[in-house]
Amino acid sequence: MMDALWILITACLVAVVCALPGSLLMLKRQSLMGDAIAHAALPGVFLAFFFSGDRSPAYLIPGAALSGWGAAQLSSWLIRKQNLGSDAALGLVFTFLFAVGVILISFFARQIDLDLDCVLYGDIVWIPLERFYVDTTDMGPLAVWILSGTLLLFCLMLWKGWKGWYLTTFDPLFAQAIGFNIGAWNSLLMGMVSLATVVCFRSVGSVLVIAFLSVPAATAALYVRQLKTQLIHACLWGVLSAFLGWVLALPLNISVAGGMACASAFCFIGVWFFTRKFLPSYNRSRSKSFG
Amino acid sequence: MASNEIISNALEIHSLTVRYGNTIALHQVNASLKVGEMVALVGYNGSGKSSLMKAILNLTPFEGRITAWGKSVSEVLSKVAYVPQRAAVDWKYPATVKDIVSMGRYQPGLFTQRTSSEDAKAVDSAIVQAGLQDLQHRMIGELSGGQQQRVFIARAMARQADLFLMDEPFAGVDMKTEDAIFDILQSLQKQGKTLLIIHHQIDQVIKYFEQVWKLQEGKLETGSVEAILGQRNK
Repeated sequence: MMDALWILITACLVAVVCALPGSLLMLKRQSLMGDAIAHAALPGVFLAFFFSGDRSPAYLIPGAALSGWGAAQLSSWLIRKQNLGSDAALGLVFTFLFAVGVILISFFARQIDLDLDCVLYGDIVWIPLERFYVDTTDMGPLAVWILSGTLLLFCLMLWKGWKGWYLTTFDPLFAQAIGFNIGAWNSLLMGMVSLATVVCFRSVGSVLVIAFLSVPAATAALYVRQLKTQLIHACLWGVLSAFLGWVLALPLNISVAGGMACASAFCFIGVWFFTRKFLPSYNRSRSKSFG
Repeated sequence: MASNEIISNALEIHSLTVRYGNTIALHQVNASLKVGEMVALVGYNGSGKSSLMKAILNLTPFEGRITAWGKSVSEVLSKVAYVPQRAAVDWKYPATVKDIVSMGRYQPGLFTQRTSSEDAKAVDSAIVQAGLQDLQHRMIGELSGGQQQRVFIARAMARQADLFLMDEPFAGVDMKTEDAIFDILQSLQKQGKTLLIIHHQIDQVIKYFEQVWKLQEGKLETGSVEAILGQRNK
């Protein structure tokens, strides 16, 4: 019973940690970046494990974060300096890095204990087994501590840099014109996405990370009127999706990550239907301006 | 003499060249804007209008020298306001009119600074000057194109700047809104502000402006509307 609670808490933390940078990415119309970083982290995971021989987060997280962040910078450079379209740059950099990761893991499969399925789909049910100890005192699952620390860091970053996030995600050109360092803000966001991706994919796999980065943010965006509400509601939809996915997966004996990803899509469809049915004037006025 | 030049010219451009790879967008451009002047910057698509504005704002690399009141533009950035093209942003963004106008008061830096009473006053005043009082709590996505354009102008006014650089503020607006926007620009000029405005419709430039900068194949001609465009003001 306690293990089930820890698993659910972990899933909820993953949802919130992904929803915060995911909302900012969506507002910048870069939701695909989360998908891309999640895949590009793979060579970093392999290299960290290969050189350390250790699967502990102390090695895997920096390795994957560096790999994801580096890939984001590389694609930004291709877009800004080489005039490559953003879709083409992302497609080029991230599929290449993901393929490199897959080849490396396959090639060294006999020598290392790193399962590609675990990287992609995660294994949340094992979360309670990896414990965090202070001296000999059991403090609970390690993943919960890592995710809580990440969430605290994200909240601090959003709170302290609120106006910067607001302006640079809405109008980067104006922000740059009044002296904001757009490159620094972009790197910070990519750093957040990379960190969210790597601390989460250990627990739930990269597929659910991608879903939690984009779907709850998109669900909240269907009706919110403020950035603050967007962030809070994206977190709430993420938590609800995690809970519903867990409830769905248990009796059906299906993949927990798959159940949660599906639940997040069901939430989106439900909210979309509700806003179309009950807030038609609001939707019309929003679409009229951009149609 | 030097100090007189600083006072009389809000903007000076010397031997400006902008290149994108092997393509030269602007070549050896020289121009100056007097304090309190309102000038239209015209030219065909791809003539280098936006490149010139981006160079002034240091948003693109350039060769040459650009000064505002005798100093480099980055030194006097707080006195410069920029109105980007309306199409440059996503108007579905979850924000109200007042949120966007308030952005004009943001200070660069990684840490958010508190909104002072002076900031609040500047924002309220800009909203009133742009005639957006009734719309200030509306979502920006619910506004018409002309109203969105006024929001951008109000955001620039909230900066309480002395030099305004506007990239096509009349684009995609009806004639009534066009007149309303021009009234706002004229009131800014009456307050002694200097304005450089990119415009792509010659008939409107003839109607509203006296001074014009015309860009053609990367070269700039400056002078009165009559001299440059060969027509009198209506």
